Amino acid sequence: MLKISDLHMYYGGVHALKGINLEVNEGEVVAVIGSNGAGKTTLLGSILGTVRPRSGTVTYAGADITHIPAYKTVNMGISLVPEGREVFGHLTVYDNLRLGLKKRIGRVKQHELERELEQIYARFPRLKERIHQLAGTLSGGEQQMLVISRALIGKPKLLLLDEPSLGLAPIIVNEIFEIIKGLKKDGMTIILVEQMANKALTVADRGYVLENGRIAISGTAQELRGNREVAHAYLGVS
Amino acid sequence: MEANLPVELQNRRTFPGKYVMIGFICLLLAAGPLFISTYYVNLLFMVGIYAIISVGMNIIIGYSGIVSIGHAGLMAVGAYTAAFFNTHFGTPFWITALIGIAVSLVIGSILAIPTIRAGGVYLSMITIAFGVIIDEILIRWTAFSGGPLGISGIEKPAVGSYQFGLTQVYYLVLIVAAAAMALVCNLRNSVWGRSMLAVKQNVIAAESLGVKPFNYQYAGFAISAVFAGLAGAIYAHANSFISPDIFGFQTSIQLVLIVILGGAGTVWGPVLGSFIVVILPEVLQFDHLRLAVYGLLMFLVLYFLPKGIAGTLADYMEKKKAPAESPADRHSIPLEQLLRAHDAAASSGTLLSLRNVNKQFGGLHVIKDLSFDVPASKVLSLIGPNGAGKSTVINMISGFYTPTSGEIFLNGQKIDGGSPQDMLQKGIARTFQHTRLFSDLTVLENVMAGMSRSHKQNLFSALFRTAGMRKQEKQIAAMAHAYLDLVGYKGPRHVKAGNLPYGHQRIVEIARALATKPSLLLLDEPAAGLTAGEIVELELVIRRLKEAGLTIILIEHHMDFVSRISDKVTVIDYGRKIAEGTADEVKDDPNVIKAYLGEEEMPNAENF
Repeated sequence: MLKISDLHMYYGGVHALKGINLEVNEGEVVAVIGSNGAGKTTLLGSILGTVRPRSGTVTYAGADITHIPAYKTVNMGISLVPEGREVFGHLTVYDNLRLGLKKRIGRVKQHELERELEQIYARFPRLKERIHQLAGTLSGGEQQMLVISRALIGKPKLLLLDEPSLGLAPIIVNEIFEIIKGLKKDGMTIILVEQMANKALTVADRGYVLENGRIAISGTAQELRGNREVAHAYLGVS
Repeated sequence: MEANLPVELQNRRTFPGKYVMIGFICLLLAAGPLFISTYYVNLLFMVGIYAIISVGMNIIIGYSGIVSIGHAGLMAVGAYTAAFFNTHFGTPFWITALIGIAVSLVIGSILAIPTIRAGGVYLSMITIAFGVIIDEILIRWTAFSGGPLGISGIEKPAVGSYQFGLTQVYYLVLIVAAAAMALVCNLRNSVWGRSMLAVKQNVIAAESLGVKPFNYQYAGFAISAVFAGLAGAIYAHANSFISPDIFGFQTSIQLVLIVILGGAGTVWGPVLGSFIVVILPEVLQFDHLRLAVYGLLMFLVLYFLPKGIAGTLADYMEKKKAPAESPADRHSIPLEQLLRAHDAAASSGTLLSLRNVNKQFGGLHVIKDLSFDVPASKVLSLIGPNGAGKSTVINMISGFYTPTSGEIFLNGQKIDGGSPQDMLQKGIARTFQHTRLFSDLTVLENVMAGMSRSHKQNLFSALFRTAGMRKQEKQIAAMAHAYLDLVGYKGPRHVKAGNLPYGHQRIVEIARALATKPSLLLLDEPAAGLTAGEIVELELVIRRLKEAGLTIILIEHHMDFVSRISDKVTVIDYGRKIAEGTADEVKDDPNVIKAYLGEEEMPNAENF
């Protein structure tokens, strides 16, 4: 579904991605783990089109999207849940969700919108209670759920999750991972960037370890969990 | 001394061949009058006048983010004061210039107060109003200003009986402009410059370091008033004639355009801008279209080069080569010098206590009757669900919020209700849940900014870069390196902090907080966004700080990390304390499991 070949990306003089090769098949959950500054967020950005790679290609559903900007890739079915719970704090939950629809401007048939919202509520019952509240007043966990919903309501085919567990209480982290499992069961293709590598590797089918802009290790989640280096650096096992 | 190395390397990096370039430009400008006609010398003179004012305005626009659209008014104050004294009392230029500066400084200082207090859009409105008022006064107050006809017959500057001609006046302006540039450049690389930029980029973080925003903005405004007054006085004497229309709204706009076009916050920007804005209309002969062209220019610059010409060039240069990092051979500074000395007697008892603290935001009761004690030289972790009020507690302890009721004691002394600056003074430093680094300062400068309060510089020594000040700067830089070493930061140190990955920003923020030499450190989710390996390193850092006598309050969600490092854990939910004790006690508490931890259902998750 997604294929990245020999992708290079620079930030000023800094060589952020140094020849990334990565593949994601339909219906797969692929975890990307790595330390800070390894290039994980940059990688997601280059798929979505918010950063411009220097060379290499990103192919999505057979089309070359290397140089296609984010607002177009979103309409092609790629959606990002950014790091750090980026809700529109001064808009209501409803307005936040409304912005996630593909048809951002113009009229949407009321019953269609209702149907979409019902699907969201089924997955995130808490949002239903909060639908007319300002997004900024939600708790951290609820905000993260809102951001995921906002991405889902646009009916993406490929979901990019950037550290969904960041700064959340353990009980909420569990909930978020349950949600990811649920999405996986429903056949969603997901790239999951996550510092909680252990948890990420329990839901993922395969994983890539990014170090200094290069893929250092890749394999099935099982293989990565068994890898000594990975265990030491990312799973907290000494 | 090795400790001096980083600063010198940094200077070498930011000023490559700069001295050669400066020398060449000075030579070219100095030789100018020999080769070009008086018409062009006169133009260059005007470039110099505008450069002097805009170099000053660069401090407020570029460093403090205050866009004044009334500086022509301050220039007029200097010019008219000088002209008045000269034509009425025959006072020579050298004295009238000083009087002009003084009057402009006084009026500028008064204007600065409402301007800074207003902030935002209103700030610029006030300066526009000021410019308009001055213009009106000059037209109406005929006895002082000569009305619309202005004042003529002002004497040229003179030394003894030797009267300055155009060439000499031009040299005078050249020297003053160069001096102004040098002073502002010095200011940028001092506690003052760093504090100004800090306030511009993140007021809350600046306050957390004890920087009082108003003082720095005020000082910047005052300096810009001095430069405007001086330029006005020189202009009046050199031109022998002044009238209100020279100092109108258009001139104020022109000055802002100069700074923004050239590059706000850059050293060369104002000079570059002055050249373009003054010379361009003359060369292209579009005097009658001047305003329209300025408007168009402003539009093009804001759209294509938001950082101005010099700013864009600087970015480009930085892109061409990644900044050189100084080698690892940094002078090591003993830990006792980096951290606040603590007496062993105090480290046995309780450092901080909260007693029945409540916090309400309108009808929202966020913290309810919260009491807990923080033992000295220990790590207390504050855990609880998102939205439980943990950050609110940190905000109250660090002085950003005032408790609605209840008391906070530090070493037995009641401290609640103090400002962030007061709390910092008492030895409380903090980091933020969403990192608040000064994105346009380098990593090193961010940490140096943490020492703004402990290493004060007076404005004079900052402007003139005195020997004592240089020595202090080197010391601050060496200390900043040592703090970065202390927290185990391994990333680049001379890049803008805004370009760092999230996890590195957190570590740098801890170093910056440590640089204030706290006895109590409040860390708001320091491990968020770190890998397991990095968390282990952070753990070592916190242990080291604790052993050195620091008391730490930690908000954190990584339970494994919390269990390993905490001496005491306090759990809050809905603003109320629901459990307290050692990590193990708290972990088994059914209330905590229900509200916060949840049942562990994943076999592989024990490590988290």
